[in-house]
Amino acid sequence: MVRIAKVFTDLPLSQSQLAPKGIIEFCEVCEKCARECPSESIPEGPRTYEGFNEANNPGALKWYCNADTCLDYWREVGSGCSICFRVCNFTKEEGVSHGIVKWFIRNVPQLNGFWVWADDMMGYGKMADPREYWEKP
Amino acid sequence: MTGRKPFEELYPVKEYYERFDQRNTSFSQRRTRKGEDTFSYQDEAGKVERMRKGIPGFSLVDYSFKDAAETYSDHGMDTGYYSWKPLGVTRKPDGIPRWEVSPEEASKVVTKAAGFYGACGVGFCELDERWIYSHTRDGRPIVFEDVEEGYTTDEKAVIPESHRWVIALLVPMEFIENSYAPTTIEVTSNMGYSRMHVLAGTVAEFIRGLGWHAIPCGNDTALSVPIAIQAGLGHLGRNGRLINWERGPLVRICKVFTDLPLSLSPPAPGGIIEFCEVCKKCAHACPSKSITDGPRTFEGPKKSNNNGVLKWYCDEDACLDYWYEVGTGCSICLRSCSFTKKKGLHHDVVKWFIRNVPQLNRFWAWTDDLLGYGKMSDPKEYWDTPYEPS
Repeated sequence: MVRIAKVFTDLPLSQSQLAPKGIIEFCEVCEKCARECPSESIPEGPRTYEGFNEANNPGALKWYCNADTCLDYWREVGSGCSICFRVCNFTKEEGVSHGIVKWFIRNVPQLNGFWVWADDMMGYGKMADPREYWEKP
Repeated sequence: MTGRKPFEELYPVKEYYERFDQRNTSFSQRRTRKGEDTFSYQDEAGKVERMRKGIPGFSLVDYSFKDAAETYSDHGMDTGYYSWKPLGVTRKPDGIPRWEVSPEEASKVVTKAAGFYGACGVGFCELDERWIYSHTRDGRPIVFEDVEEGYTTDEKAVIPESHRWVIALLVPMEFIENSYAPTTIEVTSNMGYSRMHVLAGTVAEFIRGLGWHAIPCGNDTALSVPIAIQAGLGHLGRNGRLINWERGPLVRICKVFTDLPLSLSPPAPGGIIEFCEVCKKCAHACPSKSITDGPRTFEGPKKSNNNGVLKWYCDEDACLDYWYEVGTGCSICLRSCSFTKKKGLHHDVVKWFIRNVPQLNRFWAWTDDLLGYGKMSDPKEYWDTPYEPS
């Protein structure tokens, strides 16, 4: 739940380390976004070097989304969709329990399948009822 | 018990009170007095001198930190996001009727939306003409006319008579950065002006998207503090600032005038005036002695005061002269205020006592000093700790 901006500069800066790994390994087994995407724009299965169409930027090992069917759905639903954000296992409020799970995801990837199952069990990622939004402070 | 007393009881207004002329603010007068064509107290020569001397808190980094925080700010009237005309970001489709709900429902929805847009306080009051400047800082009269949409010309600024409600909005100023006042690491005022501009403009655009009209303002057009008090967001402190129960004086105020009917907010709980009567920390800390340590009065010391209201008047001219001397907006009266505190249960307990047992006020003011609150943080250490939201 972030958006990215960037600044190019001639100011010499020390470089940051990569973030701890474990996210790719988790996404390999989770596939919740692929399952929930209403336009089936997100692939299940392994990462590849090739995409679906011209809107993809081939040559890097990653998950390619079908950006055209995704955008078609935006026009259909009349918004920027964002269901793949909402259903993502990493979309969580701050909390000690989530901090612990993330520790396991970083350190014990063998349990990833269990956390995915638990996430579904707990009902995370469901759409909140928009009729109730304005009723709460 | 101090209770929730109505505005007129806490801040009596004399019959001779007149709408304030923005040309009489200390800023405007200094410009006329000294023939300056800018409102800035940060002259280039002073900056260079402070940087070369190596005064902590006035380095190139510190100055740039402060100046950049103004990137999104706007100090004008009917300029930028403070535009009196719709920006066109939102537009109610022609075939859809405008949003018609009860005033209570409207206030509820606007409160939530404004909170999302970044407000740390939202309140509603009726438009009280007494707080509208009689003239803008460049001398144009501000008048009320039977028109649909507000507008400004070279001759006048026109607020529609239908704009009977005011949304008062607070944006936060950070406790940690404010603790470096009066150095340039006190970036929170500058950032506040950027946030005000975005927030007021965004809330106005939200209301326009519902089919109503809105005039967003920062410091322009009207006095912000009495509006915020009438909207239940706090009370007037000895230092001349709004004191908010949650954030003390660490808020900045912007406002939106609208024809969307809104339910009015209750007054904030009392107890702040009673506390300011005995605390006097700001008066003692003020380097230019601009803050009185006496009781509230109906008259201020200078032409830049807005006489006729029972309150603490500051010597705005002496205050502003010190800004030019120190090269920043000072803000020591915010830093030293007993209400300037981070969130914390123990502070909430003290506030409960201030609201309910004013007899203990002197004790709290004394312990505040004893515990060392309100001191300036060491500007040499600011950049050595990671950023912490406050």
